[in-house]
This record gives sequence, structure tokens and C-alpha cells, in this order.
Amino acid sequence: MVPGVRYGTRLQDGVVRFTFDGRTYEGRQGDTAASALLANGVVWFGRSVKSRRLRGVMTAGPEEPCALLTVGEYPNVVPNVPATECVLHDGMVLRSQNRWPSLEFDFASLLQWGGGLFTAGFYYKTFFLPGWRAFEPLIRRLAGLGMAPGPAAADSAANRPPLEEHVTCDLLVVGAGPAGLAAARVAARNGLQVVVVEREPAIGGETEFEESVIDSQAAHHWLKAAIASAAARIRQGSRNPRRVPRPEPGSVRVLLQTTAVAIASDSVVAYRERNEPTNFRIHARQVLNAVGAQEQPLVFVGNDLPGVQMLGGAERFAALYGWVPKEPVVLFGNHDRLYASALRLRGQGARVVAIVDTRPFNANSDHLRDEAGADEWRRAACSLLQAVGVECLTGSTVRVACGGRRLRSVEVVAIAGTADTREIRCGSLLMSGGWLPRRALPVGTIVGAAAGCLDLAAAVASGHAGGVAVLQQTGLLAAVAEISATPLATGDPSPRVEPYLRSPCATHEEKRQYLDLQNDVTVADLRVAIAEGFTHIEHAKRYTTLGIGTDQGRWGGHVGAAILADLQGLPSATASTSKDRPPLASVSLQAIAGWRVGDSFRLVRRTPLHDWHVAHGGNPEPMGLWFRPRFYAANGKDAASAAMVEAGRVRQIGGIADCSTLGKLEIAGPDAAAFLDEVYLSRPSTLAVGRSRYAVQLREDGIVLDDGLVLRLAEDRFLATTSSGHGLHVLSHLEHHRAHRASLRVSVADVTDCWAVIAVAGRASADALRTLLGRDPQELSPMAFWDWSGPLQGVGVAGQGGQRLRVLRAGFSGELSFELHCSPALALPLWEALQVGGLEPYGLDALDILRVEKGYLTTSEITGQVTPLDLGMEAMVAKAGPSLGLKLLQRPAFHEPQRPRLVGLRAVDGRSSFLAGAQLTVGPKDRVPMGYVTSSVFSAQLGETVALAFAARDVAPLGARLCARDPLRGRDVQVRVVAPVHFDPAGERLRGRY
Amino acid sequence: MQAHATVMDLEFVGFQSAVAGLPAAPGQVRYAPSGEPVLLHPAPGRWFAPAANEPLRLELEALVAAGAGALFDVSGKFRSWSLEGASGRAWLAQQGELATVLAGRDCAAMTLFDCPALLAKQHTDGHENFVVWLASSSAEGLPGRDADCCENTTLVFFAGK
Repeated sequence: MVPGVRYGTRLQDGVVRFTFDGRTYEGRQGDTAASALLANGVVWFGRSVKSRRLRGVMTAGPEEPCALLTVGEYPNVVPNVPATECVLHDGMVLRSQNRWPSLEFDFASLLQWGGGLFTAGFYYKTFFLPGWRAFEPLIRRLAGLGMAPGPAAADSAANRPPLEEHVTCDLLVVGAGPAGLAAARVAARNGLQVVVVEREPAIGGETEFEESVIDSQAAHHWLKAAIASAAARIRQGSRNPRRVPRPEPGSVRVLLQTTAVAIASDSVVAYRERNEPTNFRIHARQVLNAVGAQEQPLVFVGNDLPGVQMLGGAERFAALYGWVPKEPVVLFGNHDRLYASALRLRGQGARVVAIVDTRPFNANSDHLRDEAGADEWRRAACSLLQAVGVECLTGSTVRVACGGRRLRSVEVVAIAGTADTREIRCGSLLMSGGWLPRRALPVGTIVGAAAGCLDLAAAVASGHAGGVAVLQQTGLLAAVAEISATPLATGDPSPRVEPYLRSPCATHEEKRQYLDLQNDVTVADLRVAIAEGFTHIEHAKRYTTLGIGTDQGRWGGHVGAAILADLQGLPSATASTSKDRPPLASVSLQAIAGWRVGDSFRLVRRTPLHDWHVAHGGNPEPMGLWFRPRFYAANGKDAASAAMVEAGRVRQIGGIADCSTLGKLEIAGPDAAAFLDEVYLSRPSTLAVGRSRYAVQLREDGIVLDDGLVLRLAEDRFLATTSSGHGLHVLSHLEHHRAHRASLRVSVADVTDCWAVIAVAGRASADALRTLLGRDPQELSPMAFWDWSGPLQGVGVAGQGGQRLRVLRAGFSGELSFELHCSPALALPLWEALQVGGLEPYGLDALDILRVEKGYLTTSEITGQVTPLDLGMEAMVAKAGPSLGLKLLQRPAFHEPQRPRLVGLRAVDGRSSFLAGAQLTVGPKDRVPMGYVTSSVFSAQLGETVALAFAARDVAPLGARLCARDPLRGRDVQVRVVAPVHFDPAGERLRGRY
Repeated sequence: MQAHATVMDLEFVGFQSAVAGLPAAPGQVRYAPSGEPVLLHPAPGRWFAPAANEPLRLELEALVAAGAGALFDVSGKFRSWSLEGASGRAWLAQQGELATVLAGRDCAAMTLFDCPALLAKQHTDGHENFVVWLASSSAEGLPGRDADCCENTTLVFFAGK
């Protein structure tokens, strides 16, 4: 080993340059930010949230609570990245968080001298004078953790959506440590497809740095060989994962840097956020959780000082990244691993000066007795260490970690007996309070350290047994083939953990015994919570903010729950932690969103004319399921003004609108007519071929489901249109009814996308179509249609060949109108030809003006809560045959006088405006509404606001005066009830009489 | 039925779930000698004939005349892509595990990137490739999404086929 050169299993050749808080450092390829900065002598990595105390590095894994960095330059920043997880690349920009103006001096850190002012829940008891709002700007400045990326970051190439992959396997093993791989090995060797997910970039778990042997081989080699011999394909984040074939029977596929975080829809959700980010959905017959165990902290005064670290983390830094503390090191814990660790760290160059073991020799506890020879092993280890200058203090504890901005020494006392204290000078205190199982998926079985098997032999045996159990449970094998013998493993000794919660201290010192290093939650805060009645961990957690930070209580949550119980005099063994909720590990919002970003966030359908609308200022917006143009920019600076222009043009001249979003269902078969009579009120069976009719569908309960047109295409074939966006809903309704009437010979097909629809409206519509068709469309009587097979003028021959066109005399504007139903490929040529003929497009807002003026209905009125009687369709109901919904329409409740009725409204003064949603009351001071405004537009034709509304029948006869109340805007308008048809009530224009 | 194009996409919907003479097993496909799927059975009582030629159209019309079901011209309802090679499989695997979706089947109705879709195996060039049909109005926005999520994928886009 060359002095000054770090040797670590994760390090590669090559220098990496990066900056931290504006200063440039060098690291090695493979370094994390934490390992590189530690190697460069950096001690401080950030500050805590509440008290802004300086923080170093506590762990070496994703549970890191202290060293959180902001990576990148604004706006492309990623906040709250654990330095222990941040693998360096050249040019990386890193910043510490939660400090101003600098990490070394933070203005807000003066808050920590507030002492008892900032206990748990202090914000409920402060900020009264002059008021909370006065403090809000300061609180917003100080609160929070990290900086969010700027809006422009969404378009960054670095934020490409992750890949997605669905994987199916017989067995999913979570964790590629010894237990997990032992299970995978035996399962794959006996024919199962196995997928292993591992959050680290390498397999092996703690065998990466422990000296351990399995079946007479170095453990790490055994593990690699074991899965390789089962036709494994280890994925190391290959450049093109799509070249890697799927697992074959009897193989193992290892997904590295991949974390299983949740169960969703019977599959396991796992994310790989680095090295070709991918979201995995793993469909596994069986799941084994080999997630390992989480090292627990010990609680003592000053346990948050930079220089205090977890022992396991320090071992990982030493073995993987070649870093050991340069200052004198003290180890502190409650198990036998302390001694093996001390020997390893010394071998790596650390100056271990003392071990503080809370367990005395010859203890007679449940955990330590009956371990034949175990104490002898410890005595021998102590002798060995003492011979090289390491002091071993058993039955002792670290009471105080001393220092100001970093650790300088520790105060050690005997747990029982004399109260004498010793001070040991050191710059690094490595603590370990034993292990508890990591959070596992809520399915499958748990093996290995996660099941309490804390030594290698037990973990491997547990994993092997778990794999055998899976083989027996799957039922995939008629008989389990020869099962290989349980591998024999040796490694670190069984730890023999003796539980130890916290060191003794005076009550006033408890405010420096930390349980949550991000939010500065201490034992004193738990006492306050208990005193104020928050005795349950779920309440205490939220009141004190224990475990609500980015680590989600992984570091101190269990210890905190145990101390909470202990403070109440309850056995700590009965303590329960707060409920775990997915995700089990931190996941970026980008990973969760996956490909559902931007235009892909929600599926929105496009008509064949979509591109034309975009190119001509139509600015299509998502309206329900479809992109639709509200208005065309050339007609006005905003929707309101453009809609007025467009609607006025239709009334005066004419216009065209893209109505392709209408749902279209084709119903065919010998019993099609009878079937439609059962689902529509308007008796389609009485239609002649070539004619159409307005039709209303009811639900079984008598409520209006939808309305549209029904066209009779042939004796046994009909086309039904539905409201835009309702096509699938109505199709489902029809199929449901068809299933109940299996004897009827009828079929239904959704042809919505097969037909584009262009509405041609206004006095010039007939002329334009006459030019196009070479025939006067007014030869069609109202509601009749042609299936056009003749030539089209002004439309290229290529645009016509093989295309379909249907000309229907119907509309939604109240003008002389036609609908052109055509093949999608014909839509654009027709659209353009009609414009040449002098008709200009109008958008959805203009269409709304036209239809409200005429009292036509949309989903604003057909709300799913109204009956046809409410809509004034008594005549249609009276003429209807025995169709769906009529029976329950007779229920008395639908005929009560208070039932709503569709009415028209206009302002009494003829000029005030009122909006849809306004509530209707009889008098201006009434507080109980008797209706509401469903649609409201300004009618340029009539020079005033006109509206449709529902109003209770018994108080809203024609001419009645009501009050339209808009409490949100503080506007009340007197309105009068009128007939719903505001414009051309005789329908002269509809008949072409201008 | 109107006779317009000589090549149409057709959907045959039976009055019962099974119709004699048509692929009967769930997900069964009738293939042309070239290996292209010509008649899919993706759902009970439904058959989809992409770009149906004259003989197939006559066959289906004969079934209509026999009272077995109704025939619909659904030209324009779908846009289709041919997916070839491992990258094609990977693109599909983004939305589902092919082995599960096509277990014992040659075709399936599924959802791809929220789009209603039909998927069929295609046995051309001696390899197993796929054809996917996406609802036209949904598929309009798919190419942009596709470019983001699947580089190096061979997509052969058939417009209006």
C-alpha cells in the first residue's frame, strides 16, 4: 500500500474533480461525495433544520440523516441528495444546505442558543404577537430543506423520463447479500426464474468488507460463483440493457442499484435511479425479503457532534473507499462486533485508542448467559487489542461527547458502581447499538439478518432454507430435485447484542441527547410531548417531528420509540414504531412520474384536424378527454373577445367547427332497432332509412345518461352519436344492456375514430356545400342525410379515392346547419375546401354562445342528476316505448314540486352579467338556494347575458324574479325566468328562413 | 355496408361469443402465408381483420348473411406499427410483461401508454415480431412520447393501413 493512496473495493483509477460550496476538490472514480470529502478532510456537510447545528457524516448509506447536499446548478438542481449515495462524476457541483451565508457561519444558528424556547411544538405556543402572519416571511425563509429545481429544469436533457420494464419471475429476492443470494442460488439451481434486486452497485452485502468464508471459499467469490453457475446474468447498469435477454428457466437476473419500494397492483415496484434510470414492475410468484438489518444508534449527550459516526458506516468507508479517520478513534457499543471491527480498522490504518462496551464480563443477562466460551472470546480479543494499545472498557458507557463544532473527547463512566468519569481525547467516535430489521415489503417471507440472523452462518442458512421453502411452495416442480446442502459459512462472531438505549444524564442535559438529527429532536422533546398528552408514538412523532425527515426515522425512529416507552415507565420491548408507509426508500418524483410528464401526463385524444388547429392559432386545450380549440387567435386577443367575433360571424354569415370529438357508435343486427328502442326514449325503430332523430338515453334509475343523434343507416344498422368524451361510457352502457338481452341479435362497435365530423353552420353553409357537392344540400329535409358517393369539387381526386362522406342536415347552433361525417383522411381537404368557400372556423367558446342562445344542452345541464322531466322532455317521455329507466322515472321523488326544472335566465336590468355556478334564491337575503346557473354567456345578438339554469319548479314559473348569488365574487344579480330558447324561438333560421 | 375502399379494416362482432369458422381460442390469430396476422380474436365475440382483402371480406359477409353477427368498417380506427427485434420487445415491455400478456395467445387487447391497443405476433423474416394497433385519436401524440422512452427501436409506421 502506498501511503496517502486510498485502496477501496469501489474505487477505480481516474481522478474526479468537483466543487463543494464553491471550492474545488479531487476524488477518485467510484467515490461518493461523502468518501471524497472525508478524504479531503472535510468535517462539516450541512446543518440541521430546526437549530441549524453543524452536521458531519453519520452513516454510509441511504439512511444518512445529516450529510444532505444539493447537486447541480440552478435551475437543474437536485436537493437533499445523501452525500453517501452521491457517486461523483467530473465537474459535479455540490452545495451544503440549510445555511446562510455559509456553512461555517450560519446566521440562523444563533437560534440554538434559544435553549428551551424551541422545544417540541413551540410553534403552537409562539408567534401570537403581533400575529403569525408577521413572522411568516421569516419562517418561510428558514423552513424547508434544500432548493427545488427551477421550472426550466423540466426540459433539461438530464430529466428524460426513465425507462419502464415489466418483469415476470418465479421468485423475487430483495437484497443480494449472503442470505438473498443463498436463496437465489438454490432456487435457480432447481429450475426457478429468479430476479434479485439490490440497492448497492455490487452484490455481497457485508461480505464486501468482512473477512468471511463460505464452503471454504472467500465469501464474496462464493457468492459470485454461486449465481454465475446458475446461468446468471449480472446487470451492472449496462449501456444498452435492452440487449440483455430475459431470464431463462433456472437462472438469476440481478438488478443492481435498484430499490424495491412498494407493492402496487400485485406487483413489486422497484426503481433504478442511476445508470439508465428504470422503473421496474416485477410480477413474482414468490417474494423473499433479504433486506438485512439496520444498525442502531446509541443515545448520549452530544451524539450529534461532527465526528460521531455509525461504526458500520465507518467500516464501509474503510473497505469500500479506503478512508479511515485520521484522528484518534473510540468505538462504543453493546456487542462483540466491536472487537472485530477494531481489528479491521486498525488494519486499515485507523488509530483506535479505546473500545467502550456497555456489557460487563460475566454478565448474567438473558442475552449474554449460556454463551459457552463467548466471554472467553471477548477476553481474548481484549487482550489482543490491549497489547497494541487499545484500551477496552467493559461495563462502561460514553456519557458525553465533548466538543463545540466537532468532537474533541468523550466522557466515559462505568454503568454500575463508581461515578468516576474518564475523558478520552478523540476526534472520531464510532458507535453501534446493535441491529434491527430493515423495512421490508409487506409480502413474502423474511430471511437473513432481517429475520434476526446476525451472523453469517445463520444468515446463509436462513437464506438457503428460504429458497428451499419457496421450491416446495411453488408447486412448479413435481418433486424437488436434489437440494444442495446448506452452505457452511464463517465470518464475524455472533454479535451477542445486549440492548442499551441511552446513557445516563441529568434532566437538563436531555436536550442534547438527539434522536432525530435532521429536525433536532431530543429526549427532552419526548418528555414535553408526554407531558402534553402525546404519549402514543404516532402522536409523539408528529408533535415532535421525530422521524419525519428524509431518513423517515431509519436512524433514530426505533430508539426514539423505545425511549418514549421507557420515559412512561413502560417496558421498551412493548414499544411500537410508527406505521411504515410506502415508498420504503426515498424516491424522486421524477422516478414516480416515469413517462407521465408533459404531454404524456394524461392521455388526451386528438382529432384529425388537430395539427391544423395548432398551425392556425387554435391553441387546442385539453377539454375532458380531447384537445379542442376554444378560439382562434386571429379573432381576438383572448377567448372571450374571439368567441364573440366567431359566434357573431356564424350568425351573420356562417362558419365551420371541428366536432370530431363526438362519440360514434354503430349498432347493427336484425334486432338493432328493437334494441335501440329499449335504450333510447325516442323510439329509433320508427326512423326511416336515411333519417336521424334527437335521442336521449336514461340510466336504469331514470336519470338522463346522455343525448345525441341516432341515424338509421339501413334497416338493420344505426349510428348513434354521443356527447364528446362520453363515447366509451355509452358503449359500456349499451354492452351492459346487450349482455342482459343475450337473445337479441345485435352488435355494437365504437367507430368514434373512424369518422371526423365537421359542423357547417349559417346562412352561407348551403352555398358552400352546394359548391362542394355540386348539389343543393337543402334538398335534404331536416335531420335527413346522404351517404355521399359523388365527386367533391375543390377536393383533389387523391383526397377522395376510397374515402367516406355522409352529409347530415343537423346542427347545434340554431342556424341552417349540416354535419359532414367523413373518413379521417378526408377531413383536412374538406375543411380547407369549405374555407375557400368562404366559411371560417369557430371554436368551442363560440359554439357555447350559440347553443346557450338556443337552449341546447351539454353536460353542463346533463349532469347525471337530472331526469328528462327536469329538462322539459315530457313530450318525449310520453311518446317513449318501454325503454330503460322509465319505470324508475315514475318514482314520486322525481315528481315533487321542488324538483329542478330547466329554465332560461336574463338580468332584470338587461345589462348585468352573472356566471355559471351562481346560486339562485328567491329573495336577496335567503340563505337556502333553490337552483343554480348551469351555463351563462354574453349574447351579442341580444345585447345581454343569457343563461340556462335549474330552478325549483314551484318557485320559478316564467316571469318569476330570482336572485343569482355569487358569494365568491360578492355579486348578486336580480334575474327573471324566461324560456330556455333565447334566440329565434320559432326556429326560422334552423329551417333556412333568413 | 358501404363499398368504398377495396381494402378496409373490419370488425366482426358475433351475436354469440363463438362463431364457427373463425378463430375460436382466446387470442388466436389467423395468419397469411407471409406470417402477417390477418384475423385477430382479441376479445369474446370480436374479430378484427386489418386491411381485409376481398376473400376475407366475403367470408365475413357470408357470416353476416348467415345471421352469425354484424360487420363493421372500422377503417381509420387504428394506426399500426410493426415492432421488430429486441428493441421492439423492450418497447412493449415498458407497459406489460409480454410473457404474461401473450401467455398462450398470439394476440391480445391491452393498454399501451394509456392508449387502447391491440397486439399481435407477426412471424415474418423467420423471426417473431409484433404488430400493434393503437386507437388513432390516442396514438396521435404517441411518437413524441415514444422518442423519449425508447431509443434505437425499430418502428415501421403504417399510415392508414
